[in-house]
Amino acid sequence: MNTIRSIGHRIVSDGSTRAAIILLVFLAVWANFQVGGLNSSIISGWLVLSLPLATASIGVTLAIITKQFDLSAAGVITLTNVLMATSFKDMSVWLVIILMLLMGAAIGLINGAFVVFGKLPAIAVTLATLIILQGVALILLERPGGSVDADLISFVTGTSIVPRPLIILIVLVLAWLIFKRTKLGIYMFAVGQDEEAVHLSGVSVRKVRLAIFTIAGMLYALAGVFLSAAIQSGDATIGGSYLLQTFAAIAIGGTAFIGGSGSAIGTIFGALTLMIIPKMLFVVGISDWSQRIFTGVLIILAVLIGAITAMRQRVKLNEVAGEMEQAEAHQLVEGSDR
Amino acid sequence: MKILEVSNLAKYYGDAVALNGSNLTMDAGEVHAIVGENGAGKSTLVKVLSGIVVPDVGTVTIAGEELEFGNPRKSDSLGLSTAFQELSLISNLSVAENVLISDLPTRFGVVTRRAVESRAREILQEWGVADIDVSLKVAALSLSAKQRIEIVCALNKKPKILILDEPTAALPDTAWLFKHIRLMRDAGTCVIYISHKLAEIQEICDRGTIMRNGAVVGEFQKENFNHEEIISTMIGRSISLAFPAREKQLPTEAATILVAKDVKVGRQVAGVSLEVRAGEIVGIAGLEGQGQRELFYALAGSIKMTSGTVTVDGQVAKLKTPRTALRSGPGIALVPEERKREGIFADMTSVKNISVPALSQFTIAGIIRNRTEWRLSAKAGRENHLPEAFLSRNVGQLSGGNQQKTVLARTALAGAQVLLMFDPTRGIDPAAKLEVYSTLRKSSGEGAGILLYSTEIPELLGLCDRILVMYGGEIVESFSSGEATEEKIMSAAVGRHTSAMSPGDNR
Repeated sequence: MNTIRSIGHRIVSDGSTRAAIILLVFLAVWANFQVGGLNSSIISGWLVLSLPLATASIGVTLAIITKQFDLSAAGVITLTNVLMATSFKDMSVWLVIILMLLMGAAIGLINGAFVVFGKLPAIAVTLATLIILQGVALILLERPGGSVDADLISFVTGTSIVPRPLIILIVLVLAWLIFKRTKLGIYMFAVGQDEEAVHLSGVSVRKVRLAIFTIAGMLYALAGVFLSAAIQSGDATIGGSYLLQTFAAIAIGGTAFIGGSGSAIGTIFGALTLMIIPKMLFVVGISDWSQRIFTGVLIILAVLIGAITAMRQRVKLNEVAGEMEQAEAHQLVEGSDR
Repeated sequence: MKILEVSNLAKYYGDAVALNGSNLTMDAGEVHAIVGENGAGKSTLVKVLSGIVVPDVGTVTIAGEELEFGNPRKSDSLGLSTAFQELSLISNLSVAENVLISDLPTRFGVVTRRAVESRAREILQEWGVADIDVSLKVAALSLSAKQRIEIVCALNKKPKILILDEPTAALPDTAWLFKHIRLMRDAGTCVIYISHKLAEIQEICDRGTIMRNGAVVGEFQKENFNHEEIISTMIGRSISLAFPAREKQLPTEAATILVAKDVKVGRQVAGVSLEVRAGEIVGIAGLEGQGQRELFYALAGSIKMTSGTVTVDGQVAKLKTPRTALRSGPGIALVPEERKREGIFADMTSVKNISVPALSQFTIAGIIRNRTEWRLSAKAGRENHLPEAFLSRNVGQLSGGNQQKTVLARTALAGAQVLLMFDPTRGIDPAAKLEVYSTLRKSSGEGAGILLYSTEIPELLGLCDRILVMYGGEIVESFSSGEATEEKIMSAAVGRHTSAMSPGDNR
């Protein structure tokens, strides 16, 4: 009985696990109400749409773990999409992708430089970047159009036995698990928790910040590539919705917006959940506008449960520390008895 | 052999002087104390040496090489390491990761838990703190365990210069630390020992430097160590070290102003009953973490009481929030533990800090009358020995002692008659301490009831009419001022009761 309770407690206290449970419940509802059940093409359609959101949200998650807001995701996604649909037509698509990733990294680096060297608030810098990039995209492509390389489309959206987007998501999860245990990964969590202490430890906070903004920028560009493959054309307004959706995915994924903690895995579940909501509610028969209310309520609940469990964990840690202090006091007594 | 030379070092924050042309030299293989009031420039000196603060002028030479300022890694590479007073540990990382933070072992770029933990375990073993579990997050450590880890991090760099900034603030047992200090010294390290605790300095230090107002004003040797002389050099005038005496005897019929009955707070406070009479100072003694913090914060309405009743001046106190506590009868106010986090608004002026809870005293139709605010705040500041020149300065720039006086002035202006003082002299210098003592005396002389917790037992003995000792969330002993001695209090505080109760009954 106790083990069941403690397993239950662990499930609820971990943000990613909570997000996974929400996703599984929604998936079950969707599968139950979908006429004729879910087939691989329906699933694949959902995953294709989720992939760019998940990728971009991971980038934002990294920034949030270091206690910074990055709003530029939507801008980088849009610019990448427009460039992929309109330019570099005689180049190999894989080379174009590398170029796009480098561009995303450069934009991230510039964001980071303003924050680190200019000591400007990240929310302002990345808001400016977002608006500028959206402007550039509109200049390049006034009306939706253009086309995306067919090889790329089939690579990203293909389904052999397992849907390709699912494989890509699994690769992203593995990459996250490794990254978390690199030096940079550990410093990322440390900087978000206590910048001053990291500085005192002789670790360069600036380098960590710059690196994280750069990686985030690169992930936004990758998201732009995935989005291009999903919509198969260019649209300078398509990225706009990502500004809010990335943060919604992170909230549902159980990452607190306070820095020092967070999980890309939770964020991926959050993105999948966010994209499943319209499909699930549609088959259940709930109207379009109610979907927003539903999503909003879900976000509040996710954040609320996250806050409560975080508080309980703090209490737990304090108790452990308190017990240690008690034990030390007892030791002092024994010491003075001798 | 000279290992450290500091020449003409100066740092100014606006018109506030932090360092004013300091010169000092230190030798390899000595333990060198730096003493001074808060604001004397010790912390700034440490910060300059360890690469956090860039001075306005001056040079620092370590073993013949000039130090490049403002980069902790440069200081580190010249062989200087520091155990900071406000600990530099990162609470969401494990002990192991913290110990190895600047030198994490990787394999194919990945930091494996096993490698980090086994390496960290070796390090802790080497420095004799193997009792701490390296896989725990730092947030789950006791204060003294954190302090030991912080010190081990500094020791483990095997530095040429080791700076220990108030290393025993949370360390109940100095034997471990002193053993390693001596070993380091014998191996040729220069240990810079910064502390307010003169007894410790006398025990461990070979030589010392006295600072005042950002400059070096004196030196002393172990052989001619003299408490009074050091303190008078520190503050620039001689003072009596005696506690201010009570002006008039506490009348036997003084009314009881605060009654707490069977107060419980979670598992930390396990049923505490106490009474404080008007004009009385009641002391609480106890080791760190025996529930005293929770008791004080619950009485002030800052955390929730699990059960129990509290009455002020005969009426039941509403302790939902600090605001309702302040408005219960004659009012309950708390001077909190962590000044920096809980007590002050660092970026606001001293006057604003004092007036905040009492703003409605100076308003007409909701608009603050600045002149009245200034007049009343200045008066409260003066009564708490806060120099008038500091009133318009941001509190964050003031020394710890003056910050605490600001907090005390605010409490006074808020007008509460029940004052809960949680370690009000922690980390402030001797002169400021005396001023805090006289403020406490004065408030109690005017009829306030004071509950005072202090980590320094002599302070309780010198000030209190009664002393209660807490252990394991309960009051285990009560002494009148006549019968209390340091030994009796200490043995009660470590759980050796003279009464019939045995420690096992507390659970």
